[in-house]
Amino acid sequence: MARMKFLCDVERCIECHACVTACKNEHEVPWGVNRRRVIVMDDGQPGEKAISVACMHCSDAPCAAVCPVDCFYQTADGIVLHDKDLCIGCGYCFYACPFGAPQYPQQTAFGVRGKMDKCTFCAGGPEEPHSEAELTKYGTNRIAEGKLPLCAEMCATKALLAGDGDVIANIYRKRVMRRGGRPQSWGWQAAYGQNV
Amino acid sequence: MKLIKKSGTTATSSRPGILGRAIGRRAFLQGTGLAVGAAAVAGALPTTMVKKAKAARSIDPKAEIKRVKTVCTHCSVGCSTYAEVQNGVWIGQEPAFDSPINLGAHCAKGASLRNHGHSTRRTKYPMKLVNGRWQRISWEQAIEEIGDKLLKIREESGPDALWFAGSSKASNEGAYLQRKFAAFWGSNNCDHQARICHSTTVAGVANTWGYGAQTNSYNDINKSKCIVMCGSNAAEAHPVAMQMILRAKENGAKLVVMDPRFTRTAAHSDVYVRFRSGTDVALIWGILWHVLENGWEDKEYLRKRVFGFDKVREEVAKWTPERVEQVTGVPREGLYEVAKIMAENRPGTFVWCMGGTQHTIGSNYVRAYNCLQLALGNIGVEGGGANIFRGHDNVQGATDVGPNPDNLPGYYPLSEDGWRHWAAVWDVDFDWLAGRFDQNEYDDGKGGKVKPMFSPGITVSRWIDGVLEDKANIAQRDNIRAVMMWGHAPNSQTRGPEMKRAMEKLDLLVVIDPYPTVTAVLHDRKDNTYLLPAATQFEQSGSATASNRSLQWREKVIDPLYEHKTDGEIAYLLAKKLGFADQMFKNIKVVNNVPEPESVLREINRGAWSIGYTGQSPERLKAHMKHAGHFDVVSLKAQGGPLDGEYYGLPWPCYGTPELKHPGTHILYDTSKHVMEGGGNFRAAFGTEYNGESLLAEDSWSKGAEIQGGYPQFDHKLLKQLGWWDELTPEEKELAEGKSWTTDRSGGIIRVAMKHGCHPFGNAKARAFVWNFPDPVPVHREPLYTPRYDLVKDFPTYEDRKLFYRLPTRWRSVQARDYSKEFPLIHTSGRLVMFEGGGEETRSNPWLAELKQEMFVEINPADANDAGIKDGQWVWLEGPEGGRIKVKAWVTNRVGRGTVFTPFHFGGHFQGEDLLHKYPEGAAPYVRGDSTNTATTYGYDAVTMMQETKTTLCRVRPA
Amino acid sequence: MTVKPISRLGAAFAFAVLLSACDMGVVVYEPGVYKGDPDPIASQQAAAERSDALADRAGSAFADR
Ligand code: SF4
Ligand code: SF4
Ligand code: SF4
Repeated sequence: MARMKFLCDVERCIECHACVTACKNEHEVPWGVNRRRVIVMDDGQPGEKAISVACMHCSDAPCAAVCPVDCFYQTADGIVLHDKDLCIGCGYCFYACPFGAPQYPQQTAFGVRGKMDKCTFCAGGPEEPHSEAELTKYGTNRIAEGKLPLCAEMCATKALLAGDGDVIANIYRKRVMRRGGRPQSWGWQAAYGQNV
Repeated sequence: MKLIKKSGTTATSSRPGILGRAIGRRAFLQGTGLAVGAAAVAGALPTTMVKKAKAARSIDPKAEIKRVKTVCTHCSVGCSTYAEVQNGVWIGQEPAFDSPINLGAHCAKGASLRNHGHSTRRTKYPMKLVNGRWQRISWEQAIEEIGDKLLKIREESGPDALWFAGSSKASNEGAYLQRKFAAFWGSNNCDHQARICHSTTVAGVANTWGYGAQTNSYNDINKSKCIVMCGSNAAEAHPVAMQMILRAKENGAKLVVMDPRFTRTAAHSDVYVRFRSGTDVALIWGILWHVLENGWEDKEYLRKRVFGFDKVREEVAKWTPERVEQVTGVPREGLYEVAKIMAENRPGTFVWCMGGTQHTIGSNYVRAYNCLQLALGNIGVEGGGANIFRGHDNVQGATDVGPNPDNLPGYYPLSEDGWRHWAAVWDVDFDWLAGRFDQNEYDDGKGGKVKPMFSPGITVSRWIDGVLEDKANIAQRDNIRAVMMWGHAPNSQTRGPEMKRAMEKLDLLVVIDPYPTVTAVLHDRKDNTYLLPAATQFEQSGSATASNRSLQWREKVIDPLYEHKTDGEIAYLLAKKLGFADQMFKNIKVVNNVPEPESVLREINRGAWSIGYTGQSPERLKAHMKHAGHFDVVSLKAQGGPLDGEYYGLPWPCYGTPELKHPGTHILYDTSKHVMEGGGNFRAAFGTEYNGESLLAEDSWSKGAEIQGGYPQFDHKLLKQLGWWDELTPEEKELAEGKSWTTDRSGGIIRVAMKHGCHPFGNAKARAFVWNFPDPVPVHREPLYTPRYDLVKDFPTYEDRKLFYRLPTRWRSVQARDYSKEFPLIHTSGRLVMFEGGGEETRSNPWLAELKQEMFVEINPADANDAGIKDGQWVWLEGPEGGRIKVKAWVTNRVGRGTVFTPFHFGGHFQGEDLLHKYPEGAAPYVRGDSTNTATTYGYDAVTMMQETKTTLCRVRPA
Repeated sequence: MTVKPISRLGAAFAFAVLLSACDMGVVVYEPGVYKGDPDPIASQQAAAERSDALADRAGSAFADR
């Protein structure tokens, strides 16, 4: 059985934000909500590194553990999804998530939080795949079509990899072997309890 | 399952507005209008309104989805993409893994192309200013009124009183029609972005070795062992090129980045060299000094293939490490290391972009880069080359066949021969065409007279002076009185406040563009100002030439949502009104006023022999798009399949007729290949000798050439001399008699030359010594606004000139004053990844606009402390000519002490004031800001009139 | 005891009503267990069916051709 994971190769990421806009494009995520972000370390200094971050679809998802209404589930291939009909926008998952993935659109003039939105690994949500309801609430469902997340598929330098953990780890390891140095699978320890 | 039921929730609690309904095209349009309208507010209001910004889309899982292949319009990399279209609506964008150029990848801009399909932030209808307010009018009325005004101005002041900017964002066909339009109107007063982008490159490299273009390709960088980037920030300007660069690096190549700013590209380098902006010649000579000192140059290569290198040696000898450090700020070891890396890792490629071109001595920079590469034997080899990354998606194509003031399509000169060639291609009478031009004679600036038809027109960098300069001082009958911005952002040109005045002085101002652009709002005009909505390249088909000279064909994705028309149709309508459509479109198929792109490309194929734009028929280009997956990523060569052996996109030169099946030229001047396999050598474009010294190649020729040694360009005489004349068919002979390979419209001379393995353009040496330039050997000259005024004495700029491209042009008189005390900081500018050019289009795309919502200046912590500025604070940046901009301070070490950086994509503010109220309603970009170029200054290259945007001065203070 | 067929039917019906009432009205709360709608693509079977296609896709998307 495949186990879906993300891997961002920091040696290749160039901070171009294609992953961010690809996601906006694919799912029409509204202004102010970012399922994916690019985080920069040592901005403007030698050693500057960037990494693209979204929900990592953790093995033991901390968000699911703290959700008071139990709206999270994990698909058999490891994608962490949630039911927006249940979500009450409480924000607990945001505090639990090591990657800051959950996002909340501001819903009213008084700043009450809307229902949580996060990266779906382009796998929609608990609705009929490709239905109007799914599209509206969660975006498209590429996984059901046999496609991978668009953010990774469109990455400028193929820094961002998405797919079965073994497959992408192989691609990545080959690169690391060619260029030398040690693998730096940022976030894997926290998300999947292991390194590449 | 332990628990199945949940209580109380209905399936869809919040389904906003139109999303619940099945949506037809019209409703879709309205829907997005509402939804995206809210996104606009999102930018301006507190985030409380943000939720409504969700745009609308409906996908019917059962209805047919059409896949259309197109190419990103945001830079010269040329990334293909698949558009998914349902019921005329662009509903999805899929990666084109089959393209050998991008393998599916995009940058932020390319990954958000689909927004073009439903964006409402555009000029939607023809409009005109009536007493200072925009009013919608019909296309008929617009063409009538504009046409009448133009005819009146022509009557009073002659055809040169109209100046227009065409576009590097037009297709080849659109750009070609723009040039043809100017010709048939009777003027050379047209230009486009290449002038202010790579004009110094084009002039510099063409004068060195033959063609004004990137010699290799992004893909070929995979073969490089060393990549030196100088004044190129590919990670932001050409992001997908970084895919190839980082792959090469993984394979062991060394990456050297030289730039005054520690760019996002520099972040990936093995060696980064920071130097003072405006000192590249000193920097390069500093490197070459070490190369020559250590004997690392390729002596055999220099003997066989380079002319005049000794003159370069003399100049370089003066640039000792001490002197280089004094001028550039880089110590000896730094450049020794670069020289050593380059010497030990061959082939190496040299990449430059705007950082190397936009200078008063930009053409010197370019030729210094060339000389360094020639010394190392790096030109004309795989993995080497001068990899000049061009800017806009079709700036190469528009340079090749588009609206240039100083040449005709295919770089044919503005001489009688050049004009006669094109008149013949166009099938019009030369005398009729000549009669369209002003019949006076103009001062040629060299003490003689010149006919307007043969006199280079005014450039896009200087049109404002064509308007503002005293009539007595300019070399045309009258000032410029009418301007059309046909796909051009004015905020990409320097001297904003003067531009505002120029716009206000005009009798007629027309914007032909998908967007209102800054031209719609910068000035305080009340009338005689028009906006014509132009279609994007997704709303039409046509070809575009990527930086590597590959031509790619775009299929039309969607019909325009509003009243947008293609550049071709607009050219046709205007020409019809002005009375020359029948002549101009004589051999072009026009359906419902729309010229068919295929038919236009065939006309280009019939005329542009000089640069091999002749083999790329529409059929061949379409086949390349279809079988893109057959091409190898490194060599760009098709492996098997119907296109076996051809290079992707038939990179020009693709000589001869399409039937000849030339494969295109991936690597220019590569002697290791037969000319029919894309091989070549340096061009014999400058005669056969200079002062008694031969210019032809010695002991060097392309594989399989029957003439083993140098030879001149082919013409009818040479063919006869060689006894090859009778290999022409009788029909070919008829057209070839008395002609050269560039003017023989049968293509016979080319065919026969190549049959004998010879290159039609001859086989010569590259010129390290370019005697026809102001500085035959590149020398360092201090910028007009220099922070090191103490060096002006040793490195002064040029003398002023009375006439240059029809205008008085100043150098010395500007440099005469020292501004460095009042304006102590170097002001340099550049690109951001999320925006393109003047930025109107990309700042109108919410997915991009959200990424950078404020104009800013990068300032070093030391300079910030000196000026009392905190990170994130509003500041005034003031230039020495009086322009000032209000921007956010970004305190960072990305810039060194003494240098500040601003991005040039902002517009829509002027000196602190938001011009939102001046845009047609609902057409303003989401993100606006003060334009860099409001604060930039005078300064132009002495060969091409390139503007100086990379080195000027400023001061920054808290706002 | 003799029960008329009709009342037996009635009892069964009443029981069924009771059962369903129970089903509708009572929520057995089990913390940490997903309470939302089922997702058709989440099952073992669905995941197994697509795993080859997704592995192929990763090859064409990410390998440096
Ligand atoms: S996987 Fe899909 S939803 Fe998640 S960040 Fe990428 S594009 Fe967005
Ligand atoms: S698209 Fe790729 S290279 Fe660009 S920011 Fe995202 S992960 Fe980095
Ligand atoms: S802007 Fe350039 S690099 Fe980015 S997607 Fe478009 S063509 Fe590719």
